[in-house]
Amino acid sequence: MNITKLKGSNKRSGRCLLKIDGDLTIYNAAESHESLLAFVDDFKGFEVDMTSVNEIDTAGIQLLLQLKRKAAQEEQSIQLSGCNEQVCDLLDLYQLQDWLAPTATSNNTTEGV
Amino acid sequence: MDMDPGLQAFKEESHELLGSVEDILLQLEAEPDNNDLVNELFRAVHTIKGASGLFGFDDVVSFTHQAESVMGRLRDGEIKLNDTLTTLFLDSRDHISLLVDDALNGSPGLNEESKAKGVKLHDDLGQFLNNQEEEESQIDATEMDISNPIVDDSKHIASDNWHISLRFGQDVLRMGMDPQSFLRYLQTIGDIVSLTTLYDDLPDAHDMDPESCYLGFEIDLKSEARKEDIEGVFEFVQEDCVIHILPPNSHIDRYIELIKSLPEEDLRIGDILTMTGVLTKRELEEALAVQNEERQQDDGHIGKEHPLGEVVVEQGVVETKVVQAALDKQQQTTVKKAEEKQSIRVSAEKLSEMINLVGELVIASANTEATARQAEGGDLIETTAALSHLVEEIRDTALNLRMVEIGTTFSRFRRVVREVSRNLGKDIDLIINGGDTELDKIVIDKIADPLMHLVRNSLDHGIEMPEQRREKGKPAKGTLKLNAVHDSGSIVITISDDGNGLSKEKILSKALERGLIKPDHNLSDKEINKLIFEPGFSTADAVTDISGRGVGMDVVRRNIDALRGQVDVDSTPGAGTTFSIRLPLTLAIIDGFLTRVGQNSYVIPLDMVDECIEYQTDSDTYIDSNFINLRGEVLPYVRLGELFNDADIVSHSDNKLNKENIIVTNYAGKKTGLIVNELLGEYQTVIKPLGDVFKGLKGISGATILGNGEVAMIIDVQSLIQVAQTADVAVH
Repeated sequence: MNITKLKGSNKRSGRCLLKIDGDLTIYNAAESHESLLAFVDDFKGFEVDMTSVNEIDTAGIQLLLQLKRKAAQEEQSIQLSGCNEQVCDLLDLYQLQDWLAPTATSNNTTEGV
Repeated sequence: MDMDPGLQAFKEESHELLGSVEDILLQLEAEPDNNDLVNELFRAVHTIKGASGLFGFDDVVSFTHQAESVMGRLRDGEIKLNDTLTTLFLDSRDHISLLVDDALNGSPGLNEESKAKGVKLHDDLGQFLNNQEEEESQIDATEMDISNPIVDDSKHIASDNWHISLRFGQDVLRMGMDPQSFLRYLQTIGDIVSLTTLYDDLPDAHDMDPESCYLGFEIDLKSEARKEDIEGVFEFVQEDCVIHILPPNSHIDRYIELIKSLPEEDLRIGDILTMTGVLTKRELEEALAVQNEERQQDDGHIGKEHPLGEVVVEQGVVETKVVQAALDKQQQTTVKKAEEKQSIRVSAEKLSEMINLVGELVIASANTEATARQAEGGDLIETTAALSHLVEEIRDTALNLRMVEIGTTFSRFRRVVREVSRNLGKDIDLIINGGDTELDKIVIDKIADPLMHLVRNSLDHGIEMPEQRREKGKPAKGTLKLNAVHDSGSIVITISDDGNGLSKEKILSKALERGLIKPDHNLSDKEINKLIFEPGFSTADAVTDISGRGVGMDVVRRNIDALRGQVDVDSTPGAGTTFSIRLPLTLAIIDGFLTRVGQNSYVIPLDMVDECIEYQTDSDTYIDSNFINLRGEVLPYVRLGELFNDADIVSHSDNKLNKENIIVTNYAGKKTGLIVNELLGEYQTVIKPLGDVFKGLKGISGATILGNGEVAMIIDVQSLIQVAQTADVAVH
């Protein structure tokens, strides 16, 4: 698991572009949480590239919810892109698809941008 | 990776439940009208289905569902249990067991044969359901009619959906369970109309423990399922989670109650309920307003706030009695929970570790006692004596933890007897005695297979066909008896049938044919009977699918030998055969008798020591180099030093200055003397198994560490005598 900040992130606008490699599951939740902390502190809105995330579980969802909460506080949004079937499936189950929107389906709900 | 703890629990639980399903079915044969049993049967199968659903084992769920439906009809008295149905249920149980194992092994899929069998079973079960479908829909229709007027009542919420509020406990994820699997299982019993994920509990990013679960869900479910079924979905987590389930068309107060009881702000839940269409805005506002008024009126009185139940009563909607009844009911369920928790599950590993430690404690305590005795401090000796007494008690208790009644193993044979006798067209009764006899779990696990073999053997070859029995003047119904008793540090299990007995002629001719004996060998009956334990020996004329492939009795003996046990056979031609298996109660610690031969120490299991006498070559007790006269009895003896080629002793064997003692051992009625130099007395012995390298070593069953750190070998009396005999034959 690896979380990297991509070029194009902008501290002033608060927009952060992240790329997550590997799984987001209970097995690496502690590690993932650690790496996310810095971004949660420094930025307001998030665009996450999920192309390389194979597996996600409820612990992973909770981490994304942290980003979402921060974004909501700042009246910003969170967008996920490149989710595979498994990830979309879980988002569907939790009825989070509308705001953790995969960009593939476009038409993101943007809150206050 | 290790098995997920949740899966592990599922594995254990399902095995247990499947075991009880079998027991119940067999018991039901005897008492078909016992409704409690039928209910229990239904519950067991239902729980397996529920748990399988949780883990997404769809194959198990769909098959189990079919079986459960038929059992449901049985429970409702719509069908009667008969022989065909029992067989069908038993076969279904086996199939479920296969499916569960398959699922636990990562679902590689069943083989074609089992698959075909599963389909057939499914269809067979379906036949008991077919004519029911219509009835069921009729019932549904009438139920709807009844409930309609209630919907008209303005106080009831006209929602066809169940409302479920879930707040997962923080430890759910850590326990290896993921909320998503519960939701997915919920989808199998109904449609999730709407779902809201609540993460209000999620703490600040820095304070969050990423392995804790902070989520909650508000769900509207459209389902025909009963409340118990929905509750059943969450069975595995109900202890750590807050779960509220409201049935369709619930009274509005139930919703208000729900809103109040949830940790989130009232309005937040209220919003969700109105958003998902459960409540209308007006309904919600009215109900909340009533509660708020109450609160304002009471503002003067510190801390006095009406609990919700009272609000409901004042509105005249629910009578006090009803509220009380509901409370009582809640209490009852908690009490019941407590009762169920009379035993706890502990992993075998932890238990072994503890017993190992107790073993070390025993050694240390023996050491302390010896040191105290050397120091000759009176007070010290007294306290150490008290200490070692306690240690002994701890040892016994610890070993007791592993003791299990053999009854469960025995009752497994009911099924075998039922099926085998049916297959063979025989009529056989199984009588079990001493099912409450306890022995070490490890021993029980290892003895199950050999027992199974002996039972099958008796059923197949021992007991004759009914016609034959009648001709011989025996009752047509054969009897197989399983018996277990404790006998001086051992357990004796006997399997006896009233069948034909062993045929001496057949055994002899077979043994000659296989070259196991020579024609001029003069064998006693007992020796002849023992030949059946030789490898590759089967006297069955026909090889059946039950037994008789000639790969059995020798394996049985080998397995029993490995447990330091012994198997004997006793047979009366025409009247029956009895196998008796003698096993040690435990494999971990024994009371030993410590002796010294030259420089080496040996421990002889105390249970087997009858007496100790001085060895005098010059007296008239001396007969031959291998026998002495023990009060008129012939006692064969073995010199331990010679047998183990103890250089020290062998070189001094002529030196009669070496004092020698005979320990008279008694194993299964046979006495043998062991010659040693020094008798050191009773000693608590913790058996340390020898490594694989010494597996084939005869005469020694293990080693132990003495208080002074020296290693002593533990004598395996039974195999030692065998070794001595072969050595003897080789010499002559």
